[in-house]
Amino acid sequence: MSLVEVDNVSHWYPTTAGDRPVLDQVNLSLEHDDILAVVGESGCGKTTLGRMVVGEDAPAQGRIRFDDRDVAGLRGKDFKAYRRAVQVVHQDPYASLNPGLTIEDTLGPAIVHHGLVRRRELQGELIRILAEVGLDATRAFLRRYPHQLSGGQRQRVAIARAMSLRPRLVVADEPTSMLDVSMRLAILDLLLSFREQRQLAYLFISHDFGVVRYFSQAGRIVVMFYGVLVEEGPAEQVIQHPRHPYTYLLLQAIPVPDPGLARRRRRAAIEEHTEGAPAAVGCIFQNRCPFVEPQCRSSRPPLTELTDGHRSACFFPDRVPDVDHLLGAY
Amino acid sequence: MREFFRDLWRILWADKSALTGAVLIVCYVLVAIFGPLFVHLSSFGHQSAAYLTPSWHHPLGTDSLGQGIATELIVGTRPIMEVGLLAAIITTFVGVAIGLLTGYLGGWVDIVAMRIVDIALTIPGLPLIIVIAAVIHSSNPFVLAAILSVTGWAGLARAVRSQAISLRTIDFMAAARIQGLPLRNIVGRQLLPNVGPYVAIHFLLGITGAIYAEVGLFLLGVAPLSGTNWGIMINLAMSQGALYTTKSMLYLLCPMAAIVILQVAFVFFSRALDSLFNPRLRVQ
Amino acid sequence: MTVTSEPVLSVNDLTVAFGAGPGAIKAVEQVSLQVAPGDIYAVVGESGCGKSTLAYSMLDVIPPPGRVTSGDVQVRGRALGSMSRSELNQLRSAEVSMVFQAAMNSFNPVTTIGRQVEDLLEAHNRVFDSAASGRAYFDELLGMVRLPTERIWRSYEHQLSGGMKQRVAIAVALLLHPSILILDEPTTALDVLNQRLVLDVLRNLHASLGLSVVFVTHDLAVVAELASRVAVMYAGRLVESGTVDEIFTDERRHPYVAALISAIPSVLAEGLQVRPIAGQVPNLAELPAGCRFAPRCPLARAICREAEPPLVADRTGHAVACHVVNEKLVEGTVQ
Repeated sequence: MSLVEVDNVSHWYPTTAGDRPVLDQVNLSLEHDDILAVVGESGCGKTTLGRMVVGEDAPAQGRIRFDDRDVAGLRGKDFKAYRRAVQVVHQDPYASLNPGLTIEDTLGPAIVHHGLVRRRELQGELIRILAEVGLDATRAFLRRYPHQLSGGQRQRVAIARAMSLRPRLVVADEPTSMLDVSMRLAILDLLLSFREQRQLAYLFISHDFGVVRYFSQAGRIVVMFYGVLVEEGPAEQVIQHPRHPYTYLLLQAIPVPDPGLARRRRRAAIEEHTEGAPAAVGCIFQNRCPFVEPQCRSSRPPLTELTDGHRSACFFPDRVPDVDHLLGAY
Repeated sequence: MREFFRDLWRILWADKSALTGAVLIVCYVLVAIFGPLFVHLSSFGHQSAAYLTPSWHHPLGTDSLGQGIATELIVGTRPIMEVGLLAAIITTFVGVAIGLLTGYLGGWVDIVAMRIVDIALTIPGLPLIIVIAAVIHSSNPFVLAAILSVTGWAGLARAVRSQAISLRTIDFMAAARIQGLPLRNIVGRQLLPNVGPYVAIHFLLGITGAIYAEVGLFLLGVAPLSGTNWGIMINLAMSQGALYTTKSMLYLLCPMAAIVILQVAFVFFSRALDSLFNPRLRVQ
Repeated sequence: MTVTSEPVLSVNDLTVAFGAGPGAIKAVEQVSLQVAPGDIYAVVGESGCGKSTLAYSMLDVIPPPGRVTSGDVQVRGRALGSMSRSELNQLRSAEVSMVFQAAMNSFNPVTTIGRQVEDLLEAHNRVFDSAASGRAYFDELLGMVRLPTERIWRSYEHQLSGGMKQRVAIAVALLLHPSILILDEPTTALDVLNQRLVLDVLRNLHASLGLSVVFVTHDLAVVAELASRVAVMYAGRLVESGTVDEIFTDERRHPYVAALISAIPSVLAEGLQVRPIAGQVPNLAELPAGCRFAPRCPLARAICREAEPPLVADRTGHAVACHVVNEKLVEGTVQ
């Protein structure tokens, strides 16, 4: 039994120009104690998917199951248990902490509400949690307001808030993209350290394959394009041997901190592949695809298993080059 | 709490007009509480002492019944401020509670409550208050305050609701929901502090509005003219021809001045509230 | 690029302070750099290192209460501090142009992009012979930033994606023929594909318009992709400057820069060791004594906690401000 199952979920937002699809028949599962990374450009539906898993949005069609139970049907005690078990770390550490609350009031109420400690033991517990996330574990720190903290410190408080309820699943939506470079790895390491200590699964949402690779070494990656799941597989497999042209495009776009390599790669112009609209008929990626064939225009490729656990929604997965190709073999 | 007053003092010291307002308000409050202990109105007038010019004994002169105007001003402070404060508490409480709940919850609660708000906003407030006051005809401060609050909450409810709606989707609200916090925590601890500055300013201006409306009721004579307050003073001055003779000039102008100075003091002081309720400005 | 060419823009021993007296915070302290014609100059650093303030000082638009307390900025040999208000306006419209960090949010939401461009052309009607030639030039620029001209003219801000708005902002900044373009965090808040597109666009604009470009970023990978010269800032000071190859491949480099480079998680190189940097960026109000990086530095010695290291350049102009690294340089030249 999986921890989370996303079962044939479709979703759309109403706009004046008709409904805009956000998710299109997405199927996913996340095992206990596992990491699943969702990758795609902005607007691909990855954030909406995360919001559904934490119960902030309900799918228009399909189900989200947690512990084999439909999240939409949870009530009372079961709903409270689900709330405790599934936590979130947001992208923007400036919006994710209430500016009017001290750190103590940010962290404390939920711990008491879920009965994890008694009220008079709360302060000791909070100080222990601060130490756990690498913050200044003092009473003075508990009395601080968010605006007195740096971005990195705020993100640690947000992580403390998520971890304080001892969840079984944490949805991390771009948790490092707004932080300074020197802070990013430390935050990722902190998140990973919790996984080592406890039974904990992550749904990790990001557009940055570099961060995804660092975070989900042993986990899996799914790649989404305009609400459609186009590739899925073990993390290292997808990054080293992408089998969907969109995955390859994302990998190719990443800037590399090596000026020599950057110069060698420069000839591979990317612009004609970044702006094609998603197609309604046939393969959704056809308008951007460098390998497009007539077949792609007429029918939609299903997500097909290629090797063990590695699936791609492409008729010609073997045309997609390996990542070694990016190292300057042009 | 000690920190709160220390911050308050620091903010007032930095903003001298707010400090002036605060000092004036404190003076009014002291007069309202302790004034009646020191001065008394005689239960029947001295016709012989009517319309005296200011003197040591009557610093602001006397009225047509021979009562000292200064004494009447002092005694009349408490009823006015009491009702103004009560009315502001009622409008603020009702407005904030309805605004936060409807804005946060949405759905049918919101739809129903907002139709009621629309009705309350379209009814002209003052005439309605006058009609109700004339029908009920009570001088009980609680009843008066309730009458004065009959439509005043609606504008605040609407404003607080729109703030609650924009706050509802912010990440920290989502995080509170995902933590499973109960509604009273989400509304009381997460939402309320973020509308705090707005509510505080509305509260002060609510006092001024209620005082004006209350004085208006007495001036028009729809509230019972028993006891002494600034509104009754103005009413009596008018009925005794203050508009035509100069004899009761002071009797008319003094309560008006008392009202205007108090209102200006509230407006000045309200400037300090924004800084006081903003943690970013408060804690250095 | 020859060493003798006159810099188009130079920052000389510049200090920018916020506040006054002993409590003043120096956001930029004694920074010097020269931008040669045709350079793509990157100023790199983390939040609060003073890189944005430095960029603002290049246009004399430092937000108050910040002010230049010593040193100056010169454009083609003329100090900004000595210019009159009208000269400064002339400079900002015709010579140096800036794309601000939130540029993608800087359009008026209630009128079309085209209307806003026309207003700009009208305000600077001496730049072009006719309004039509100004509009034609904007079309040309839109082509260069790879946007569909007709659609952009008619668009409202909300109809464009973040990446498109950023490129429109770049086209608008280039409309009045500046020779120097300054960009504050041009790729931040964009996803990987849009980031790549902006980089390609900037590289092409630089080549075809003969621009000098200065850009501020926190992302070293973007620096490697775009820059020709680099200055790295830490806590208000310049810690290293040189060509992009010197910064990334020279053995002699500042430990902060080395740490930053190895803190970037990469998808490509298999064996690249990734290490987080310990500690935090210091608060400018409570700077440590000596080298500002010393508390986080793996190489720090006693002297690093006592004296601030000077910026020492080698023969090629690659400058590093580090006691430990420069000690080796001295030994090297002696041998």
